[in-house]
Amino acid sequence: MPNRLDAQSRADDIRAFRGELDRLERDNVLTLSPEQRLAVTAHHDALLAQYQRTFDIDRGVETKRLSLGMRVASFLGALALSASVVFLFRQYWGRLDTSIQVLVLVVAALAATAATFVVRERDHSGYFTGLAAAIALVCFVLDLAMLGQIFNVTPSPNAWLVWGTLALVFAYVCDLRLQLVAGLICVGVFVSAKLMVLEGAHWSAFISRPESVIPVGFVLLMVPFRVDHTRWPTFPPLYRIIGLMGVLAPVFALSMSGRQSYLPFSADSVEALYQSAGFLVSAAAIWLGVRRQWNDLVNAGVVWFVIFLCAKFVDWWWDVMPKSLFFLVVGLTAVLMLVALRRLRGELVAREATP
Amino acid sequence: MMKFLSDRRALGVALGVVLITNAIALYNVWNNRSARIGTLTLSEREIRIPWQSNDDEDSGLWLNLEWRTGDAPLPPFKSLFQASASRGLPSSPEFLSDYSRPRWFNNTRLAEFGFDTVPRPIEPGSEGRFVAPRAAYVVLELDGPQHARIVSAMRRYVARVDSLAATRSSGDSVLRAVSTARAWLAWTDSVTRLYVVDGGRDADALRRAHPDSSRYAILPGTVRIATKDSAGLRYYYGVIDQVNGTRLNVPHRWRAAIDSVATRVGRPPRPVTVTVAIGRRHEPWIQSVRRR
Repeated sequence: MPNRLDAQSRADDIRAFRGELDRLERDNVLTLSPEQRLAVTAHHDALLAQYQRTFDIDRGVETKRLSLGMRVASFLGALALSASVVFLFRQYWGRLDTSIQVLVLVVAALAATAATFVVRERDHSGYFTGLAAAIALVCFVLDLAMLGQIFNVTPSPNAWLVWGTLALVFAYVCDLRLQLVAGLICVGVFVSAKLMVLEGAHWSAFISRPESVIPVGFVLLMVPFRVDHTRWPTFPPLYRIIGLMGVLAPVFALSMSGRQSYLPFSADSVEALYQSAGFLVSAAAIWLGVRRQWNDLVNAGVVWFVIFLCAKFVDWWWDVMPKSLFFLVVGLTAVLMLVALRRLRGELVAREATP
Repeated sequence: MMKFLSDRRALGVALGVVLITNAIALYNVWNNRSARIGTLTLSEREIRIPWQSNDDEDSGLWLNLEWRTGDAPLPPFKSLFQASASRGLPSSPEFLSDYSRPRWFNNTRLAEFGFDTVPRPIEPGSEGRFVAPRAAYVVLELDGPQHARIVSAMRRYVARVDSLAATRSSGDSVLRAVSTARAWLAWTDSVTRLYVVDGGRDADALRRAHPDSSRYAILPGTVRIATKDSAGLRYYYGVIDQVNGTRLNVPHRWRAAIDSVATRVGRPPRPVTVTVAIGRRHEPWIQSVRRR
């Protein structure tokens, strides 16, 4: 059993199997001999105990619900504790001598990083490790950002690379999805900024040049195809979602403001081109997601398709239609999309039912 | 939890990222401060001292370096000159031009930064293509020829308005122009004498052109191109977008000195002398603060 996701999936299968076996025995369809039943139960119990020890899996529906709550609490806790670290430093740093400021920043980043690995040793669930890693990353971001302010250092995009590197180390070593998202965004900012420098512009201008982000999005979309993530089965969906965002967020921005494009066409032509590209890419994402059974890509594609559609509706009709009619049209379009997706689902169900 | 790297190696990699990054950052600070390439002695005119505040959430303190391009009047004065010209009063002094458009930042200089400056026909309804700002070094001049030129041009302007008021039957508009011109002269004598007078991509070349390191500071920044439409064509001019290092952290040792000259909101600043050093990486720092 290579990872937690597989272990949880097997545990879910065992629970479903036991329920179905009970029903089959009640309906006198299948009856196991006491020896068979004992052997199956003992085998499953041993597996579940092993998974529990190794991966801290959820054995029942109730524990699964609680785990979801713990995930939310861990995420919110990470945000709150990170904010607390930043505000605590801001509150007192002006009263410290420069050497003490530097010492506090460096030691806090090192200590929080080391603490993450100590917590990881004791926490099989990963919730507390995630929390500790979030604090460590914030301490490191604060460390570099404050050193920059204390010594009036000229801002550099390289900071994003090292922040991203640490986040990716946490993500891959401790199997943390939030750190993966943070890492990909930081490295994405770095690459986009460096592309601006290659063009001869200042690195911070990448925000105003959405096309510099698109290559990063494509690379992220390609990563799950090229890199084996068997050990981290929850990571490929995040690569796809962040990658699609990296492609479609700039496309959306350019569909609104064509003058920020590199393309040698008029702003109106660029906007029309990117509007079409937005619909095509989001539709292609839905198609690929359905074909490969990647729910994450289907959902992300639908969200982006709706965003492009709503933007177009606003562009066409917001000023000329009564608001009631405008929202009626939006609502009817949503119904149409539901019908189309239901048909697609029907075809998939039929395909799955075929032996 | 699954193991990707052994615990010890993983910890080593993570701590290594933090340690090496900090080491490089601190080496760069040391490298910058190990060789001073300029020192400016600034007064409360060039340094915006923060007003006393009761912000318990942020104990940090910064001083902002106030700089001007020297070619731009503040918006109220621009309208004053336009109004003066329409009433037959002397129009704006000769040094004035469009807001934030330094005279030296012409098409030749823009082309040095790689900006395309060929005038083009205006596309109907178009704002023009976006051109990203570019990294640059800018030269700040402290109380130098630029400031002298501006003060002298302004004095000439006040003298012209004064003589006009003396020779004509002085109507309200003339008297108003006289009083505003005098107020403007007093204002110019009280605000910053730090001007952006040059810029380029090569800091060494700029230093050779402005060798006095106690009057000229070279700081990194960004410049951009802006447009001006005229007679169906779109023309270009350069704008100083940003000057880095003009927000200076106040170290704790100078905190008491700055606190002693900080005033309440709306009151004029107290006299102070702040010495700012600039290192070999063109990053400035406060070297001393002295109350005068």
